[in-house]
Amino acid sequence: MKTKLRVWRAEKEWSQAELAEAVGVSRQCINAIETGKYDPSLPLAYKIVRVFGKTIEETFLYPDEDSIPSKQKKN
Amino acid sequence: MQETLVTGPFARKQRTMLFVFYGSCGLFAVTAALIERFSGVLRLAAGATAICAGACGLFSLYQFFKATDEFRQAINRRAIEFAFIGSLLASVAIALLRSFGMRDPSPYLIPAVMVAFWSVGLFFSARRFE
Repeated sequence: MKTKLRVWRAEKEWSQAELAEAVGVSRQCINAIETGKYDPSLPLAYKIVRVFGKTIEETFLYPDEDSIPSKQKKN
Repeated sequence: MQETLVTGPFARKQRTMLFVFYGSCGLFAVTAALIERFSGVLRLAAGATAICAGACGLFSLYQFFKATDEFRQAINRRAIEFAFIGSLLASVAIALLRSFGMRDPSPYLIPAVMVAFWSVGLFFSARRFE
């Protein structure tokens, strides 16, 4: 899943560590979310977007239905 | 900077607990092996040391699992899944080999295999998220 976390963070001039501390997770967690290697849980996603005053839809970009593999579509 | 299991996704306390766990496992293995070779007071001492090492290992493992964020919990979960499947396959393989005449393995073999699979799972899960 793609995110605009890095953009929001750059706007506020925050480091990954500062954001991690603000939402109560490790810096590695924020890094993994930003690089798309880890999808956060819904509570964590809400915590993150509230810090920036944004919405989930603005911050996390779920791929279009057409680009989701057929195996995932069935679920 | 390239992160590894040692420097990377696990906090300092978790890394310390992980090393305490491995140290305890090693001490337990050595003292448990020595119990059968010793007699009298030495045997008692080896048994007591093995029990202390086992308790220390369990405590450090509990501390390792505790106090993690959801990202590290995801890594732990994958490692446990890997260890469960690996141990299941290993126990079935051992049972099959025994039916073909292999002599009875040590009762500590399955826990050792489980810890080995868990360590491998932990390493690869942590690397996957880096």
